[in-house]
Amino acid sequence: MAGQFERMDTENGTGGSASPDTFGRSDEEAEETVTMTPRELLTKLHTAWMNERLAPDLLPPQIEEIECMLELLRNMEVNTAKLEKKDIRLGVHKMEVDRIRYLISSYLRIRLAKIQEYCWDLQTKENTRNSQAPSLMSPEEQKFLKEYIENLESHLKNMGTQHMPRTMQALQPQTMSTSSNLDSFLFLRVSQDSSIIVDDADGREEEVSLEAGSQHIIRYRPVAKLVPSGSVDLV
Amino acid sequence: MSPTPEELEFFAGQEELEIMPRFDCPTMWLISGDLGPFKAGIPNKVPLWIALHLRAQNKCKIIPPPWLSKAYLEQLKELEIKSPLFTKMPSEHYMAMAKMIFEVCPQDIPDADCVKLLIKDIWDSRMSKLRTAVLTFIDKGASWAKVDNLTQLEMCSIRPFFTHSLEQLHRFRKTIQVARLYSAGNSSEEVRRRLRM
Amino acid sequence: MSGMYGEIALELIKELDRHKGKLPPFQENELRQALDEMQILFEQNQRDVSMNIPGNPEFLAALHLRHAALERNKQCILAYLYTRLKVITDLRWDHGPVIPAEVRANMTEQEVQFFANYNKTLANYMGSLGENHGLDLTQDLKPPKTLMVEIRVLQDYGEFELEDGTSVLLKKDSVHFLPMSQCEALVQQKIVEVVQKQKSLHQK
Repeated sequence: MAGQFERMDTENGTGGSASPDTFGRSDEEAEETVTMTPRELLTKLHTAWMNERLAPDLLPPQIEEIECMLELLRNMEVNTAKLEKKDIRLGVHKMEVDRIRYLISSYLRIRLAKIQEYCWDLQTKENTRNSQAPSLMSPEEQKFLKEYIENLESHLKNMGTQHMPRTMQALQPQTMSTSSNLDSFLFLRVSQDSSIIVDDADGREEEVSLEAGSQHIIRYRPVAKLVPSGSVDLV
Repeated sequence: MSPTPEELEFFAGQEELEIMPRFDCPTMWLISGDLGPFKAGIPNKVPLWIALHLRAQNKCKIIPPPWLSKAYLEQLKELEIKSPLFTKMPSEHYMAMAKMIFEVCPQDIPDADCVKLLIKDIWDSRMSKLRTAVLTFIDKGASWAKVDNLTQLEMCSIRPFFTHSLEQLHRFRKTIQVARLYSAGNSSEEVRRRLRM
Repeated sequence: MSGMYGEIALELIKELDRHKGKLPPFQENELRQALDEMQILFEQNQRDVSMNIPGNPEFLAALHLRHAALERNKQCILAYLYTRLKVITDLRWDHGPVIPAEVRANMTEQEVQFFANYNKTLANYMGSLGENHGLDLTQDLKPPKTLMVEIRVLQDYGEFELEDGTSVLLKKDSVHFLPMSQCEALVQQKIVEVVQKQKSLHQK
C-alpha cells in the first residue's frame, strides 16, 4: 500500500519528490519556462504573503504561482486519499495541505480587502495605465473590482445622490475614496545592496545605502519601488 | 497591517528541529520537501509544525535545539543585558518556537521552568531597550534608523505605537514645511511639486 | 428643522459611530430630513442668485455658507450610506451568505439587495480560483495549529481510546494533557472540562 502511494506520486510528477518539477507556462505565449521545485514555489508564496500583509498598497499579483500551488494541493489530496486511516503520513499530509490552503486563502483575502478599501483609486489606476504595463490585479480581481464598484455606486445613487438637488448629484468618488498611505513607517530587511534617497520631513534629502542583511525602520514611499523586485523585504 | 502573533507562529512552524521518533515510516513526499525515512530511536530533522503534530500524538519526543537550554540562555541573557545594542538571537523565531514547544511538550525540555524564565528575561530586556530606542528616535526627529538583530515578533509588539507616533510627527513636520513654502511666496503648484517625493 | 445646518446629517454619522461595526436600524426619518434640508438650502440659494444683487457681501456670505452646508450634508449622507455598506460587506465574512434575522431587521430592502449582489460577486470570484475548481476564502480564517489542552475529568468515564490506539483512564477529578482535536467530543458532552490556560511567555 505504502509502495503504491510512492509510485503514484512520482508518476504524477507532483508533490515534493526528489527531482525538481517543471512548471512551464503555456507555449501559446512565447514566454520563458519557469523551473521551480514545489519547495521553492512554497517559499515564494510565503514571501508574497508577508509582503502583501505589510505593504500599505496593493502589490503585483502572484496569480500563476497560486494557481500552480492549488493544482499541487489537489493532486496531493487525491494521492493521500489512498492512504490507510491509521497511516501516520495521512495526518502529516493533511496538515500540510491545510497550512498551504490557509496561506493562499489569507493572501487572497488580504488582497481583496485592499481592493475593496481602495476601490476607486485602483479603478483610476487601472483605467489610466498603459496597455503595455502590467495590471496590479489579476483578470478575476479586475472583474471583482468592477462589479463591486457598480454595486456600491448604484446603491449610493439610489439611496443618496438621486434625492439631492439637481446640480449635486454627481457621486465624485475621489472625495470618498482613500488611497493607501505611502508615508507609513515600516520595518525593512535588505536582501540586496541598494541605495535610496530619503527625505526627512524638513525637506532635506539624504542618500541612504542599504546593505544586504541589515534591517531598518523607514517610510514606505522611498522604498516602495524596491519591494516587487525583492531587493528589500518588508518585515 | 501588522501580522498577528498567530500568523508569526505559523511562520515559526517552518523552523527545523530534531525529533526522536517512536515509529517507523518510509520517506514522506511533502510539498515542502522530502522527509525521512523514519526509524524508531534514530533522530531525524523535521519542521517544527510536524514535530509538534507528531508529539501531540505521542509519536516522538522533541530534542530541544541547542539554544533552548539553561546554560546557553544564561550566557545569552548576560550578553543581552550588557550590550546597548540588540544581540543576534539564535533564531529569528526564538520566542514563538519556545512558546509553541512549551505549549505541547514542556516535559521534553530539561529545567523547563528555568528556561521559560530565562526566555522571558531576555525578551523583557530587549523590549525595554526597544522602547528606549523608539523614544530616542522620536526625540531626535530621525526619519530612518538601523535596527539589526530585532526579530519580527518584537517589531510587531512595538509597531502600533511606534509607527503611529512617527506618522503623526511626519505629518506635523510636513505641515510646517508647507507653511514655510507658502510664506516664502511659492504657488500651490510649486509647493505640491516640491513635496511630491 | 434644527438650528445648525448639517446637524441632522452629522447625527447620522454619530449614530453609526456609537454602534462601532454593528448595524443599527436604518434612520429613514433623519435621512429624509437631511435631504430636505439640502433641498431648502439649494432653493434659497437659487432664489438669492435670481434676485441678482451683484457683489453684495451679505448675499455672497450667505451663498457660501449654504453651499458649504450643502456639501457637508452630501458628504455626511454618503458617508452614512457607505459606512453601513461596509458593515454589511463584513457581515458576509463574519456570518456567511445568510443574514442573521436580527440584523436583517435593521436593513433596508436596497441594502439586502446590495448584500445579495456582493454575495454573487464574491462567489463568482471564489469560484474562478484554482482553475474554476473554486476556493472558499471565507474558510480557513485562522492558521492551523496543533492544540494541546489540559482537561479535568468531571465524571468517571473509564478507558478512553486515543487515535493512535493507546488509551487513557478518565477517572473523576483526574487531569490530563491531550490533543484538543481528540477531546472536543468529550468537552461537548461535559465528561471533561478545559482547565484555564497559563499566560503565554511574552505577555505581561
